[in-house]
Amino acid sequence: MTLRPLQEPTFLILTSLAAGPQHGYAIMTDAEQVSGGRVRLRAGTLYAALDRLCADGLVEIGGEEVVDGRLRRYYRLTHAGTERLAAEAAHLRSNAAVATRRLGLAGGAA
Amino acid sequence: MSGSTVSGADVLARRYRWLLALYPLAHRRLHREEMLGVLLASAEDGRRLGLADAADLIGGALRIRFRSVARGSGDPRWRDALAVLGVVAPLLLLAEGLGTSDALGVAIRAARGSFEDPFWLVYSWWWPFIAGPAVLVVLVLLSLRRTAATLALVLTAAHTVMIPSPGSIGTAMWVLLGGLATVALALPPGPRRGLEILGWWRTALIGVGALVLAALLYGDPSFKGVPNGQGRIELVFKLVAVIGAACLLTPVGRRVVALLVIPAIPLFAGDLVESGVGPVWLDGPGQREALLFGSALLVLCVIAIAAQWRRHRQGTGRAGGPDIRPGNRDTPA
Repeated sequence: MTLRPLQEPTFLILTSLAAGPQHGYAIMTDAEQVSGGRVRLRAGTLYAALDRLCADGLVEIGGEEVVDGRLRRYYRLTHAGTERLAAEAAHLRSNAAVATRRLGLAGGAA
Repeated sequence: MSGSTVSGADVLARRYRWLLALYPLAHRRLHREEMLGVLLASAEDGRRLGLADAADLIGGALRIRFRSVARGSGDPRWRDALAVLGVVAPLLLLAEGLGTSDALGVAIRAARGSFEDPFWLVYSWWWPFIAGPAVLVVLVLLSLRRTAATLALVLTAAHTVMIPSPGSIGTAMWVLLGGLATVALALPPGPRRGLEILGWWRTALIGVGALVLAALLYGDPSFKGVPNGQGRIELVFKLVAVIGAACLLTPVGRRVVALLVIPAIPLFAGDLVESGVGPVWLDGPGQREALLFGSALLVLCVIAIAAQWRRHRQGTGRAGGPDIRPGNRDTPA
């Protein structure tokens, strides 16, 4: 089965969770940081993606706590999610290596 | 914190709650307070609801709603309504095709002894829109959901392209009804569940009722005790109103009626732009809107079918499994 490439927000969410369980707001700030400020996840996009990732078995709820009277729910990668992120990272690395090599062959004129 | 700041945060929270009400109930129960906390924490100035955030929340709600319907985990009443629509819409398309092509009129006149050229239909460009819905009805009765959805999509697309009066109200209604049939058939649980809910007798009754309405609307000959002209159109509207009111008695029926309002929109839009007596045509802007609406629905159909097939191919089993699984959970066959 050929896996479709992950969309960037999805990739960033999984990458954020690869460091350990995170709550929604932490995922948003971490994704922005990882992308160098290029991608800013909003709540609607984040929770739609989490809904899909949970349904696909890539992410699961890892616990919850109440902070300042507000519910904070933590999400974590499942084993399938870890494998999916690893596969995507390898795929991106492979593509990047080819691009870098070809740019080098062309004298870095890009 | 000043009083005005507290008030501003409260107003913001209230506005976020309005938007969060767009999410499905199950999602709201699990995530509303959590999302509210995230939204308030990430609000740019802590008091104002940004347009981008509002649009993002609406988009997120639509994505989750669409996905829950596509994977068969949405509100069971809406799933059942779509399943019933998957049976009703093809019957309406067949009745409409038989009516507008004058096949019913010919049959009625033949029954009264006035025979016409039996090959008239072969020469008519209408025959695909009689044969197509007829095959569609057979596929629905056989519960071949995916094949029926594909045929409904092809017929809808063909109707959009082939009919020489693309801006007419009839075409807009046909395209919207065909689009609805496609969506209803593309999504689980499908017509098998619809047939379970309706039962064979009610299905037959709907088919006969649709034919009677089409005969009244399109069949030229006068019927004993039935008014002609405007009076007959009013009679049809009254019959439709009574049937619609009867459908409103059940939760699934109410949802079916709500969905069937969509193809009726061009009729009301047409009334707004109608001028003079004779065939009703949409004017330029109305025509564009009708086609845009139809096109948008077609795109939705394509996305729905593509999503279903992709899930099926990837072997997730949820949406691509046996058609009736969610329905059977509620009502064993």
